[in-house]
Parts: sequence; structure tokens; C-alpha cells
Amino acid sequence: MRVCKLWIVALVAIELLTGTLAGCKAKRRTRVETVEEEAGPLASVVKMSDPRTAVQLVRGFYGLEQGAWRWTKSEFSVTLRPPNGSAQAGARLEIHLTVPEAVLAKVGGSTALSCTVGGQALEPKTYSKAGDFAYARDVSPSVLTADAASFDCKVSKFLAAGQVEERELALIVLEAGLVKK
Amino acid sequence: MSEPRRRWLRHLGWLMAALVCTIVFWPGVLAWFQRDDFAWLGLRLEVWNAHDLWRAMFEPKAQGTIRPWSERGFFMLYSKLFGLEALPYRLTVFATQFLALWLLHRVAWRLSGGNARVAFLAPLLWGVNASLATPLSWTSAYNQVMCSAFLLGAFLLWLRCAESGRGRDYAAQLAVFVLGFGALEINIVYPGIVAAWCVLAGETRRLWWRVAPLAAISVGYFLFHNAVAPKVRTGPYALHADASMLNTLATYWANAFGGQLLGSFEVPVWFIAIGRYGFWPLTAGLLGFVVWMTVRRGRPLVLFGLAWFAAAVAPVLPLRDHISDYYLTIPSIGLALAGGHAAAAGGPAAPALVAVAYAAPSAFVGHGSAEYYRERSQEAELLVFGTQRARELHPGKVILLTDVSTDLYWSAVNDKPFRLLGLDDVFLAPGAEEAIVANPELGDVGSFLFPAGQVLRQLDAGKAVVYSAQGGRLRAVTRNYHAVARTRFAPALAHRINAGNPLFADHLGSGWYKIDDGNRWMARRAELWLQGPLKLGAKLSLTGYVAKENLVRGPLTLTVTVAGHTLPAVQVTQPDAEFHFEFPLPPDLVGQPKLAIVFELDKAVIPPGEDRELGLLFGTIGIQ
Repeated sequence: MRVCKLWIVALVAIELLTGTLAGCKAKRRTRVETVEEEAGPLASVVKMSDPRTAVQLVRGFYGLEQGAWRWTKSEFSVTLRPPNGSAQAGARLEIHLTVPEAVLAKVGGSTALSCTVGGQALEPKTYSKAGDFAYARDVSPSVLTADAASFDCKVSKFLAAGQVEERELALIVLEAGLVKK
Repeated sequence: MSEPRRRWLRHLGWLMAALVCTIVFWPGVLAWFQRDDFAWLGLRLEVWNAHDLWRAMFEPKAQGTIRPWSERGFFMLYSKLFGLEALPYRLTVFATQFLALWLLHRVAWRLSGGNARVAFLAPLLWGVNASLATPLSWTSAYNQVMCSAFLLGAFLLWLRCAESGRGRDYAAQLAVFVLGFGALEINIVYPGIVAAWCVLAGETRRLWWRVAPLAAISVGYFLFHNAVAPKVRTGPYALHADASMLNTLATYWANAFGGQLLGSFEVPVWFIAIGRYGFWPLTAGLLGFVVWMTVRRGRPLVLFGLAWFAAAVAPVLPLRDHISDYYLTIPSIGLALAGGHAAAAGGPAAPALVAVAYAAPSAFVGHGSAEYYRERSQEAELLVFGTQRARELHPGKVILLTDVSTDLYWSAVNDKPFRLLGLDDVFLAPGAEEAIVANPELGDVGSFLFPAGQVLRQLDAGKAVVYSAQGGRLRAVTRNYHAVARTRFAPALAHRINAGNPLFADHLGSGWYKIDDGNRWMARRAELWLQGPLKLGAKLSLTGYVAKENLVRGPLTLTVTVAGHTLPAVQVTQPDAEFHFEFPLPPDLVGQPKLAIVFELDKAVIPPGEDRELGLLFGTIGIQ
């Protein structure tokens, strides 16, 4: 019988506890504010960690990891604003990336990155050892005349989805930018 | 020692367990909602009358689950009282856990013949078990905690009944047992637990007739559940009643000690090694203790904890491909009982070994897992209330979400939380699906995606805003997204539309009536346009509703024509029910920018009080 009483006491306690919290609903909860847009054009340089420019990572990038970098798929695209004067002088595409040992070891020891912009192919670069690199290529003025340029990149060898984890994994990218030559 | 002091010390044992449990799983108190929680919170929106309420409470759902107390009733009542304020839900879960700890304390006291150390240690060991992390941090897993309380409550009453022989104790026990089915199906193992106690306590002859009705109830429930649960033959929920069950048992046994997941945390290697291999000496010590007590001391009742573990884990052993740590919530009670006995009897070294090899790794993993749930749920909270704020700032506009991570999508978007706040026209922005790893078991990301070919039109007209979910608070990125969209998304028809959403009105041709509460009626014949499939094997999928008034002249025959191909006709026979039809599409439609689709019924009616000839009520129409 004592057990029954304790059950009842416990249930009543729960009800009282939660009942006193019923007022919570009536109170207006703390407003979750949004960050409204700052005036400004697209960025020429996109850091993976910058939430303001994440929208320019249009395809093939996974979520931010450790607040600094993102895995890419074998094909990825980024849209960048050509810096002032690049319609006349051209610009330089720079992608700061890491070739992970885990990838190289499983794809035969080397992989290559190539990009295109506005139908123009940029020279590929082959990576045969793991480490941090910058893929840097000149971009001709003819494809930098608009307010935005979309770079479509391909990695020749990568970890297929399911090979190591469920995601297709190619490179780790920290930053992609279009800078003055 | 005086009796009041003894009693106070006994309560102190339980209070200590409750306190330690609260400290370890504290993030669970602060957690918000995630995943299935949103589906349960939305259940109340489907209740309009007593019949709906009955269905919502008791109609078997996926996998044949019912759980009216721990899921449906709990969420419906609390969402009515507290809405999306999570704290009352969380406090209720913890209050139930405290109750279960107290019951375990009392059970351990009785099983050990009044040994205060066993009664102190058993709830303490269970209260730090890592398997509690999910039930104590995710409200949808409340069923585990509630079922623990029902099982322990029933068993405590059973022990009282066995001692007193009173019919009212037996009746109370029976009532608690039967009510436990409303918490979780695992309740079915209760007669096995009681039978194991009878055998080990040497009470079989005296009490078998009192176990028999319990067993009959469980068998009846099993047959009922088998009848209503879908037969799953493939995928993670497929049952494998074969030798693999031994492997699964071994995995659960190792995981029950809580330290196996330490490798997922950034901790010293030696600590990971303790977590990973500590269960070996603990297992050896535990088995040595029970064998010694059983064979040398003639006290087989110490085996009861292991019997509880075996009985409670047995129902999930056939789920070879779906091993979940929170399935150990109830079995780990048995481990705590056995461990409490062993640690209390094993001299000063035993509690030290248990503390180092079990409690520390298990509590660490439990706390870390609870923290993970809390963080994930609070990201969901920021997303949901951020979207509400965005709607306040931009009334009438489509809200497009981008930079939604895989975790955030599956924990906060997939289960449609926005409807709980009355927020419609919230979609993933085209391109956002790229960052989300697919999980067909949970859902289809595409169903939440705004059509890429339509996004520019909305942005150009200023009818859509885009928010990035990266970094916690929502951040408006409409201008930049618009600039990027101009380079990427050419205007095109959608692959999928909601017929009742005005955003897609330009996809509809003749034969459609105005929007009716988020859906749209067709006449006897109606036409629309969609973009062709992107790959072979695509299907045209139709969902909607048919009222009984539409079937007064008998079943309807629906013929669908796509770009001149007439697809096999289907019959609509079920009144007052949703329909879902899929039509495989011919290969030559792949890649076509515009498909003319015609729906035609063999008949349509003008229901009483209507002046329109109504065919079917459509929701989504899509190619997938």
C-alpha cells in the first residue's frame, strides 16, 4: 500500500511541477533574432568558416567541420566576384586545400584537380603527396566581365560514397578566392 | 542504528543515485526537441473529434507501435499545455527516471534481503549507465524510461505479493504490468523476469499459477502485435532469428558497460583503452561472483540481474542490423542489480574496479552523448524559432533555407516542425540539398526542396527570402543567393508541385478549382505541366484525398496521360481516405523540359450543397 501511495505522491509531484510550469506557455518565449542582411556584393574570397559567404559555395561542399574547413565531393562549384579591374587584367584563382593521406592511400597515390570557368578550362594540377596546397591558376579577363564568375572543379580520384563512409570524399578546402594578379 | 536513521540512510542511497544521474545527464534537462519529437508534437493537429482522438491514441503506427502513455498521450497532453516549451517535458522525463531509480533501490533492497550496500549501489550503477543518454535527452525516447518504471513498479509489487500472499498486491502488480504495455512493447518480457525470479528463488511450485496469467497476457499481446505490425523482411528492421543473435548479444553485453564509445571523444588513449576493454575484467569478476555465490554459497538469486538483462535484451537480438545503445536502457537495470550485488560483496577492491572500469567511462560517454543531443536540439530550436522570426519580418514571402547541415536537416527539418508554428512556404533553397547526406530510411530531402527552375522568378519578384542556417542563428543571404542563382538556375518547370500551393498555380491548366485548405479539387478532367524526369526509372507520384461523396456512384477509374502516353488506369475505391498512386514513366520522357499531364476520371459527382463537379482532391504531384 505504501508503494501505491508513493506512486501517487510521485505522480502528483510531477503534475505540480509541470503544472507550475504551465505558465511558461503563456509567457512569450525569448525571441530568436535573425541576422539581417548587410549591404554588399558577393565576396571575391570565400573562407569556408564565414557564414556570410557560405551561399557562394553552390555545389559539392559538405558542412563546416571544426569551424574551419569542408570536405568536397569529386565535383564542386563556387561563385566568386571578380575583383576590380579583372575584366581588363584578369585575376588569379586560388584554392587553399588539403590533400588527405587517407584519400591518397586509397586512390593509388595521386589525384588531380581541374577547374573551368565560363567554358574556359584552367590547367589541372596533380597531387602525389598528402599535405596543404594552393591550387593557383590565372584566369583570363574574357570570362570575368560579369558581377559573378562560377568555377566548376573536378577531382580525378576520390573516395566513392560507401568506400570509407557514406559520403563521397575528395578534398578538404579551407578557402577559395579570386585575387588580383 | 535506529530505524528512522536506517530509513533515512536508505533514502539517501536513492537520492544520491538521482543526484548523480542528474549531474551526468544534465544536458538532457536543457535539451529542446528534435527528429520524431516534431511528428509527435504535430499529432494533436490531426485530432478534430473523439474518433480522431481514439485513432491518435491507439491506432498502431509504423512497426506496429502503440505506446499511448509514453508517446501519443504524453505529447498530445503536454503540447496542449506547454506548446513548444521543452522544459516541462524534460522535467517529466527526469521525474520518471527518479521514480524508476527509487523503485530499483527498493527492488535491490528486497532482492538482497535488506542489504543497504546493494540497495545503494544498484540505482547508482544504473543511474550512470551511458545507455540512459538517449532516453534522458530525447523526448521521443521517454518510452524507455517510462517502461523501466512500469517494469520495476510491477516487479516490486510482485515481490511484495510473493512475501505477503495478498491478492490486492497481485492485482496491483497485474494492473501496473498491463498498463506498462502503453509505455513500450518491451513490457512483454515481464512474465519472463518474474518466472526467472521464481526459479532462482525456489518459488516455482508455490507461485507458478500466479505467473501463468501474466504469461498469457504477454502471449496475447505478442499475437496482437504480430497481427498489426508490418512484416519487415529487408532493411535494418528485418528480423534475423539465427546464430547472428549471439553476436548481437555479445555486442550489447560489451556496450552495456558504457565505455565502447569513448573512442569517439577526444580523451587520452589510456582512458579509451579502459572504456573499450574494461568490460572484460568486470565480466570475469561478475561471472566469478555469481558462480561462487550459486555453487558454493547456494544463493542462485544473485543470477537474477543477469536473467533480467537476458530477458530485456532478448526482443532486440533478432535486429542484427539495428543495434541501438538506448535499447540497453532496460537491460542495464539487470546489469546494475548484478553489479550492485557483486560490488557490495567483493571487498574494497570491487567498488574501485567498478568505479574505474565502469562508472567513469560510462558516465563520461553518457554525459558526452547527452551533450550532443542538447546541442543538436538547440540548433533545431534556433532554426525553428529563427524561421518564425523571419516570417514575422517577411510576411507573405517564401522562406528558403540554405547551409543546412546533414545533422540539422535530419534533426530539425525532416519532421516538419514549421507546421507546429503555422509557418507555411518554408523550403530548402535549391543547392542546399548538396550538403545533406541522403538517408532514405528517414525521408526524402527532395520533398522539402524548392524547385530550382522556379527560384529565380520568386527572387526576381521579391517574393522569396533566403536564410543561411550556418553558425546557429539564421542569417539573411537573399542578395548574395540571388546573385549566385542567376549564374546557376535557369527558369524551368518543377518536378514536383503541391496543387494547393499558389506558388505552383502556373503549372496547372484547365480543370482545377480554387485552393481548398492547402489542397485543390480537380473536375472530371484536369491538366498540368511538370518538367520531365532526370533519369530512367522515374515515377509519377500522386497523393490526395477522396471523400465518400465522390464514390456514391461507385469506384472511380483514374486514367493518367503523360506527354501522349496513356498510363495503366487505377481504381479509387476507399472513401474518406488518402490515396497514393505511383506510375512508372516511359524512358523517352527523360530530360524533356515540359510534360503535359492529363488526369481523367470515368465519372465525377456534384455533391449535395455544391455547384461544382468534383473529382479528386489533390495534394502533391511529382516526378521522382
